[in-house]
Amino acid sequence: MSEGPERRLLDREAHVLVVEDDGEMRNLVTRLLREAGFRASAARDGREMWEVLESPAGEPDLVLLDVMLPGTSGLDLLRRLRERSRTPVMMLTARGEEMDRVLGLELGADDYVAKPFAPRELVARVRALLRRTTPVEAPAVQRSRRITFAGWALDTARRELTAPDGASVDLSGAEYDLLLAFLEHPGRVLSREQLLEVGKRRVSADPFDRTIDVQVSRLRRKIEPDEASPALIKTVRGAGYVLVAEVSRG
Amino acid sequence: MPDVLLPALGRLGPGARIGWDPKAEIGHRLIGAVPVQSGGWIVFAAPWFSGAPLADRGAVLSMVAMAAGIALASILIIRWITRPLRRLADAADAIGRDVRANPVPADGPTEVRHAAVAFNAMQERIRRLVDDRTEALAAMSHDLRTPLARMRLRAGFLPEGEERARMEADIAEMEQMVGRTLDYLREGRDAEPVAATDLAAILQTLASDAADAGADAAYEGPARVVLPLRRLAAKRALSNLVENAVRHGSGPVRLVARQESGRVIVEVSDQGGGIAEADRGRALAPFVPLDASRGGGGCGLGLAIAARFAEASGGALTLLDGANGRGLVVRLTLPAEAT
Repeated sequence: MSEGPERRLLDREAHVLVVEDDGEMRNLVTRLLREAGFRASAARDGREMWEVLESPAGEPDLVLLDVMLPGTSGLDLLRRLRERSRTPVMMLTARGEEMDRVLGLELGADDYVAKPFAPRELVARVRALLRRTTPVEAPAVQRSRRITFAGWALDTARRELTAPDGASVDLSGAEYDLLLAFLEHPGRVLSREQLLEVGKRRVSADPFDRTIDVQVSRLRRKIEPDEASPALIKTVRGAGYVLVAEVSRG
Repeated sequence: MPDVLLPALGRLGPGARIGWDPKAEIGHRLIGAVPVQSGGWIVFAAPWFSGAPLADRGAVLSMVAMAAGIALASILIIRWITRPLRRLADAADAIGRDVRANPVPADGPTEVRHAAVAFNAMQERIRRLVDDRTEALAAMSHDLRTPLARMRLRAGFLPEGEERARMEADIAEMEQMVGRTLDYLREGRDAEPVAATDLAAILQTLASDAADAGADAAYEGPARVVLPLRRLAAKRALSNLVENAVRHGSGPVRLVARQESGRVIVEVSDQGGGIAEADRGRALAPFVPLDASRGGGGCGLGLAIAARFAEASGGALTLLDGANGRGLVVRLTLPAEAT
């Protein structure tokens, strides 16, 4: 991991290991990653995955792991992988299989992409995960799954927000990312540019993606539903937005 | 001989005779003979000839008691026979809607018991048949996703252009069909627990997502509507309604929620062609696309998924005309308290 930070800052050289049993799919994904400028290697199953992990080429910077694998399932591999390293893992799950997703995230996966996915989406998610999981920050994010603020609770593994009265509150992907950014920097003013950068982690192929102001106001409508609710996110004129609530993890 | 018979005897003419035995229990009490002119007799007899005084109080009472007894016994027997029959009829009606309905208890008269046993066996066979078909459909949809994922990736390697864009659109449509089929089959079968959920937040997310994708969609309603729900199932059902409205209707698409006594009403309305009253029942059935009037594409599952969700949640889904006679309003009614 000694060379990690430098490597990861330069996406172009990052090494991604693709663990996928379907041959065609494996070839297509590695080809896609190579064309996007990553170094990609492939493994058909758990055995081959361990071979790559133990080879002199060293630990990959990111493992792209299919949940549905013959033999040892992707989730088992993930559990065993987590016992020995913190290498970022992105799971490939089937769309709509919420249990796979939740289990995977709880077992320590860092992100997931639902199959079938758009090629652009996969590349962008891989980039974002590499950028996000610098070795310094990764353990902290992993340890605390539950972040609380002003009576609210955000479960980052399940991506679920719970109101003070216990009601589950649905968030769009963009709103979740924004809220997480605020919770990671409580009390700090985040500029629109910074928040826009957060938004780029997400991939929306749609050209109508709204401005940060719209996204923030949508988030506010959910966590400050009526006039009586305390203001949690405040606008700082000419600077950006700030989360004023006290945040605790665990 | 009772006095009443005397004038009768007189009228019969001379030579007529009447015999009377008040004690006769069996046979005839009254026997008479009338001579005819050509010689010989006309003989007549009357059984149980008795005068009015015989109908004494006790007899009437005992007769009434007996009648009442017979009536009561008949009612009980009829009910004993018809109750299992009615249950059978109800059960037949119930499995028409849900093959997983409870089996009929096998009691009552032998014939009805046999019918109930046969009926339960039939229900079991239907259920197995439906399950097999469902599994086959689910497996197929499931398996289609891998080649679709490959196609999508492969399309990404093609040079940019109209052909590629069309291909990607086709793939997206196929993905949506497969996704909806799986959603439909899954609805009501996953073990998602019911928990307090803010329905307004779900509607807001769906409206925002649709608006971000370029549709004219908005949520209008209270900022919070909390009720017990299966969150993911609710989101799936509602997103199908919104997708339908965006796809088959035309803007503006409005999502409305309001609380009424004991229930929550959600309405998704569009300004498209609507669905003719006669077609509405069909529109809620699965795999029935009604696209002649509503735009084309789709596999007719959106409304079916939502209808199934509504039923599984103790609510209902109804289709209504738009406010100004244009478009379609899909109304989802949900109980505000846990059922």
